[in-house]
Amino acid sequence: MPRIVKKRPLFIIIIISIMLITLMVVTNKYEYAFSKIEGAVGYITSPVQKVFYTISSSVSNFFYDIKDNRDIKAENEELREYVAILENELIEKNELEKENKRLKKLLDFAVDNDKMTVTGAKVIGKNPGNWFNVILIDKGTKHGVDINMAVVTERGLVGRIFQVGPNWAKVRTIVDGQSSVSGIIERTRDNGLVKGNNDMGLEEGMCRMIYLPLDSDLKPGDKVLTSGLGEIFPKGIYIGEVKEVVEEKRDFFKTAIIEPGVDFQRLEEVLVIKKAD
Amino acid sequence: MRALVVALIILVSVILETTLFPFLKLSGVAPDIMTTFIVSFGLLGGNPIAPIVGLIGGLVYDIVMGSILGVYALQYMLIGFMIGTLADKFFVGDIIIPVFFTVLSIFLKEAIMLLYAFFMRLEVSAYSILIKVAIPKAIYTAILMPFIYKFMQWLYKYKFMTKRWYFRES
Repeated sequence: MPRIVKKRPLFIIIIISIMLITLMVVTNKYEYAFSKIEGAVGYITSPVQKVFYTISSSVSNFFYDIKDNRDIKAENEELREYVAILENELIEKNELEKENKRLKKLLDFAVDNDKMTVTGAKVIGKNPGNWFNVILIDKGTKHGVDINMAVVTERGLVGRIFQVGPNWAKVRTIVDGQSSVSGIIERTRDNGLVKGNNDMGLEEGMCRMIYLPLDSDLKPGDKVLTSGLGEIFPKGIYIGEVKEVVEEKRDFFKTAIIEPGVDFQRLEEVLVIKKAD
Repeated sequence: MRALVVALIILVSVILETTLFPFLKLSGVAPDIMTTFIVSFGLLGGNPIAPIVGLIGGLVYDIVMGSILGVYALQYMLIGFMIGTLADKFFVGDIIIPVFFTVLSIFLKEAIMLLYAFFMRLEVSAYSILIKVAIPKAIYTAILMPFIYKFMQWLYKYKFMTKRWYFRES
C-alpha cells in the first residue's frame, strides 16, 4: 500500500487546509464573493442573534447598574451626553466658520442630516475575538443598506459595511486591524490615514493616524474628522481625539494615537448613512 | 441523531459567542466556548469527528461573524485533528488533560492567527498577542473547560454518540 494512503487522515486534513487557505485568499480579495450563501445562513441566524443579543445586553446592563450606583450612572451619562453635545456643537461652529458652512451638523445625525440617513439599526452581534472588530446589524438590502455605506452614532464614526444580506449587514469598525479611513485634523487641516489596530496595539481600543506631515503642529486633544477622500465616508464625520503624537526618526511622517469617540464595547443602536456623493 | 446534537452544539456556541460573550469580557478577552467543545469531541470521540465538528463549526462562525471565510474553519479543524490524534496517546482524566489540551489549543489558534496577520500585513507583535490575548484567553477558557467536559462526558454516555466514523479505508 502506498504510504500516502496509510497516512490518509493527515492527507485529507492537508488537502482541506489548502482548500480553506484558498477560500481565505479568494474571500479576502472579493469580499462579497460568497454573499449569497452567507446571506442565506445569516437570514436564519440573525433573528435568533437579535433576541439573544438584546437579552445579553440588558442582563449586562443590569449588572452594570448594580455595580455602579444607578443614580450616579444616570447623572454621569446625562452629563456625558451633554458634554458630547457641547463638544460637537463647538466643533461644528469652528468647522462652519472655517469651511464656509460647508459641513453638516454632526450631532444627532438622523435629524439634522435627514437626506443622508438611510436607516437606524440595532446591533445584534459582535465578534468576541481580539482579531476582528466586526459588528452585525439588523438591517440589510431590504432596508436600502448597501456595501460601503458608513455607519455612525451620535458620538462619531463606527465603520463601514462590507457584507450585506437581506436582513443583516456586517460592519468593519474603525478599530479593526484591516480598516483604514482617510481623516483630517480639524484644527490644522492635516490629512492622514486612520488605521485600526484591534486590541493588539499599544493601547486597547485605539486607532493610529499615520502619514501626517512632519511639520504639522497637532497636539493631544485635537479633533479628527473624516476627510471625504476615498469616496466611502462623507466628509466631516467625527472620528475621535488625538491622544498622543508619536514621531519616529526613521519615518518621514508623524503618527498620532487616536481615541475613537464611539464606545465600541457598548454599541446598541447605530445609523447607516449614504455614501459620499 | 449525533449530527443533530453536533449541529445544536455548534449553533448554541456560535450564538453564545456572538451575543452573550462580548459582555463577559475580562481584561479584553472572552472565553472561547467553541474550542472547549472541539477539544471535548477530540478527547471523547477522536478522529474524524473532532476535525469535522471543527471544520463545520468554524465555517458557520466565519459566515456569521467572521471577516473572511476560512480563518476560523482552519483553526478549529486543525485543533480538532490535533486533539483527536493526541487523545489516544494519553490517559484522559477528568480535569487536568482536558484543561491542558484547551490551553494548548488556544495557543495553537493564536499562532495560526499570527501567521494570518503576517500574510495580511497587519502590524501586530507576537509578544503583545501572547500577553494580552493568548494567556488571558487560555486561562479564561480553561476555567470553563471542566464544566463543558463534564457535560460532554454525560452526552457520550448515550450510544448514538459513540457509533464510530472512520476515514474510509481502501
